[in-house]
Amino acid sequence: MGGFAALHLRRFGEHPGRTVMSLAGVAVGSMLVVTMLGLFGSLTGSVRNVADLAGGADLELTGSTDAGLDASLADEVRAFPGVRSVVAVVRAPVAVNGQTVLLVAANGGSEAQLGGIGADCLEGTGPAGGPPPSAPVAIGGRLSRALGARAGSTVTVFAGGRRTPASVIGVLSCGAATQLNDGMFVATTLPIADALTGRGGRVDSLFVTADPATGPAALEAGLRGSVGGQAVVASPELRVELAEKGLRPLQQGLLTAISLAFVVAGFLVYNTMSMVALERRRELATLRALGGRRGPLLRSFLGEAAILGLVGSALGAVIGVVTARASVGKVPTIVLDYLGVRPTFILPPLAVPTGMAVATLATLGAAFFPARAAVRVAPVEAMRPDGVLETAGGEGRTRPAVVAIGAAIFLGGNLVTVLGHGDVVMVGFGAITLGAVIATAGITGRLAQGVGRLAARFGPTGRLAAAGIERSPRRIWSTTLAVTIAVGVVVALGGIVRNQEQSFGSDFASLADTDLWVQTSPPTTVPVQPLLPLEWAAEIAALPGVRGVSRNQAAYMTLGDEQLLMEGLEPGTNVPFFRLPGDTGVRAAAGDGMIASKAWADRHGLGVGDTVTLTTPTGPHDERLSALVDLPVIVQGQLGIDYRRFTEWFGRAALTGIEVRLQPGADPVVVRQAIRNIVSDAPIPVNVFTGAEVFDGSLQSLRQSLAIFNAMVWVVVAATGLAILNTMAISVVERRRELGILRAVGTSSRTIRRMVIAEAASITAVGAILGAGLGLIQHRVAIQAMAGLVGFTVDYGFVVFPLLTAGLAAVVMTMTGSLGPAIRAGRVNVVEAIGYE
Amino acid sequence: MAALIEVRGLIKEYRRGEEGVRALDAVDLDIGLGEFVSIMGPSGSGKSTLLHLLGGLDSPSAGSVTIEGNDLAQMGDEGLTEFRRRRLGFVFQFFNLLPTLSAWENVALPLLLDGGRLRNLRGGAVALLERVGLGHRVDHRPGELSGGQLQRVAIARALMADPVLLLADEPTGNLDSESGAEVLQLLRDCTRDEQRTLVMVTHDAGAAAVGDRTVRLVDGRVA
Repeated sequence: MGGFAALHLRRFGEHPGRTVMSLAGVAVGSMLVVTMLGLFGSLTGSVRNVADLAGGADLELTGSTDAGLDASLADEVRAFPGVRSVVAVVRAPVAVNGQTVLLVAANGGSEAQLGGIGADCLEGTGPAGGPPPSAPVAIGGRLSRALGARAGSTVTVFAGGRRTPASVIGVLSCGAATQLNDGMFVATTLPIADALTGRGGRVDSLFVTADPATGPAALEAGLRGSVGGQAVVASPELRVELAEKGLRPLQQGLLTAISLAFVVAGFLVYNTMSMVALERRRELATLRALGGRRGPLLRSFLGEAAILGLVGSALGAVIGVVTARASVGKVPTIVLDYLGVRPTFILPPLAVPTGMAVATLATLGAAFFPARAAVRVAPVEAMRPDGVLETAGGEGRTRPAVVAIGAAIFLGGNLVTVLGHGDVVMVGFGAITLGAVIATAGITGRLAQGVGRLAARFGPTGRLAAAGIERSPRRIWSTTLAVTIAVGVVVALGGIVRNQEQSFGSDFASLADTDLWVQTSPPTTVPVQPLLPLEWAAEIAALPGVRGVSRNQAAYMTLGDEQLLMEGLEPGTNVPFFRLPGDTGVRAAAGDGMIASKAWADRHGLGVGDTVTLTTPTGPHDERLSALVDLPVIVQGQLGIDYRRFTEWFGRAALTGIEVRLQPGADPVVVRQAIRNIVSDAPIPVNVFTGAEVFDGSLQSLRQSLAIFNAMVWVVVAATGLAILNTMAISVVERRRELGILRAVGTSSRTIRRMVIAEAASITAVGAILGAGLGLIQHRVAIQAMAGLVGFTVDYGFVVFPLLTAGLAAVVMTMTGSLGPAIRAGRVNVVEAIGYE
Repeated sequence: MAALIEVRGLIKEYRRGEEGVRALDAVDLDIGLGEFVSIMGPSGSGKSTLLHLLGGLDSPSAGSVTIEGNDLAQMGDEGLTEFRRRRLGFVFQFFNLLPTLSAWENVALPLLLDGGRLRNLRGGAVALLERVGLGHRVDHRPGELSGGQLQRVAIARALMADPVLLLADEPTGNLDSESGAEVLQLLRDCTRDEQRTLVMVTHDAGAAAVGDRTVRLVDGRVA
């Protein structure tokens, strides 16, 4: 059948519009997969580039926070039995001429090659002769271009409250260097790095290579027992694992949206292949009559679908690479902060093949049932005259078993979503949609009748439309379901987002209670770096109009195999984590107890009164949990102690933020300007925000995180519009003879057009009603499941706006899908339409 | 001489809602090798149904159809499919040519379905087209051919697998008189010259007269 299969390829040119629509549907799915894999590959790959500074080390010792490790620990580790070599590395965010970059340094020697970035990468040397350069540094290529700096230039490094000039001895721009923090880095030796940052000899990592006789596992256990109270001992991969964990909720959400897009694309392909099967019914019957076997015919049909899938997915993959690259630059700041790197676009090698494979397989899956039905055509149909295309027998019959299975999956999905935890919740959520799809597949005839009855309400044109609707139950079902899913997504996601915003708003409202906030980061993120000079707090507190200040510290810390946000705050803070009922928060800020996020505590079986051991550069410290807080947090959990102990335990004598309280009657504008005057000569932008601005910023951060989901929703809506366009085009072709007869007996073109629009409107209306119901259910169960999925509780509230948005989406889909086919139907050539072959 | 086709007690019933309709009512019929038999009858007489059953395109409600000693009712779908592919040739009223294939590709279709390679089949297909007078149209698609030409391509296709039996369903029903006469002559030549059996359904007495004998059906029975 090879030659015959090849002849099938000519089919694609027969209906170029239909082919393009199907390709577009497949391309959307592939594009989304490649975009997701490219985005997450870039984020985790950028983290891995920093992890690869190890150059193949077996273990990495790090500080639990960015305060790092005491350099003397390196000597202690070197002397440990089973250690072959130790490389000390500094890897800290600093500001260079106002740009936030990564400072990297290692102890010298051949073992100190930083992940392949060596002297052979260096471009340019300093000027010949003259005094040796002070604080010699090499800079990354992107930083060089940003600053216009090259060998011989002088730059200013701001770190730890110090401002130090440094001499650029060259630009590192070889392969690996371009991907390290996207080329925004400064590289130097350990002593120079220490002089620039004033860290008193502290380093960020010790990369340890094990003696082959000992092995990494044994060495890890030994070192953990020896120095585990002061440092985190783990594989260098831990950094990447933490990044992946942190990105997981975002990834799960995107996967859900992508799955829905594939469902809609699948319906598009299903409709197209069904139409193809219907159009070629007599042709297939002829082939069967001539002796064509079902198997080879089915394979030919699926071969067409496979080509459609491959070409469409390839197009989508190309677009996906472009959108992935663009999305890397749109990652919310708060996500970049906890990743700790500036992401470079890195396309995983398997991203494009995976996107193409998934989209092609989905296409084949969607095409299988219409193809199988098509080749089961009775050979005797070849003898029948051309005319109205017949539907397959039994297409609209009710299948109770299918309905029961679908209903069971639907109900089971609801239960799993509400009662489950973690990934199981996502499976349950998907099962709700799957169950709805399967259950309605068992009542295609009744569904078509329902759509037809609605169409009939549009008067005579609607009754004409109803006749066509009831004759094609499978097509009506697949299109109605596509609308249902799209509307369901709009309603569910709209409701979830609104409820999250409302809960988030009430949870973080206390941010507005602080008169002014001083921090380097925008209001959309928790300030963790760069650090502010300690003396600024006293200077600001002494300003006229200032009643008092609270000093804040925040850092991302590693505890076990999780990354947590650690905060050290003072009494008077309005940070929501410490604004608790009673005086628990006040006492914690004064040094009594530690506050933890409830989700983290539940995961570790901890409660109020239990003791937690923190790994710090000054050794292990035990602290009692005094309160558990149910608040959204970007990483795996959050801890809070008082500012004084944070500074002492983690050796971090600096600030990440200052909260300013004004005297009654003080002019906030005047005080704000006075603060700006104090911070104006900082080499990096320092912001002075009002409480309202910080609160709005926190909401903006939430919206940024959800923006990508909103974009996905409208992609799904657009794909559904395409599905409706496709089905209406099919309907016009399917009823061509009928339309010709209608025109022959005196029906106007206008009536024909209205008939087509009535069909589209009825499908969309029924789909929208079902979708609203599905969406409301999904909204409710998702809010119920939120605590188990993302670790914090969101209050459910019925929201009207998403229903209105869904209604608008439905109108858009109807108009998009029906206008073109309606116009075409009105122009049908009567003679051709009613003529024989 | 043993008949090529033996039909015994053939019954075919259809259900139309609550009613049962008996399209064929205990038909007995023998057709020999090389015979050109026309089947005539008014609309609803069962002539097309008889042709469908002779071609294994449908299954009887009762009775048997035996061709070359093979009882079609004993063959499964695979067996019937192979039988149609290798031993039968069909000429349809509405031509049933594939619109995306050229004339020679349409002719080659039966052997292509049998696993043949397209490039190896061109010679035989072109030869058949020349035989039916379309040697100058081998690369034209159905959309570029007249009704008579289409039917001649269909006849060439029916002959491609060198079948022992040709089944023609109103082969001139969609043609003008001149084209129809040409097609009938072509069919006549194929059977007479090559000892091939032809069973043709027609409502045209003039067309039926071209055959060796005519079988009349009335209300599902041989009159």
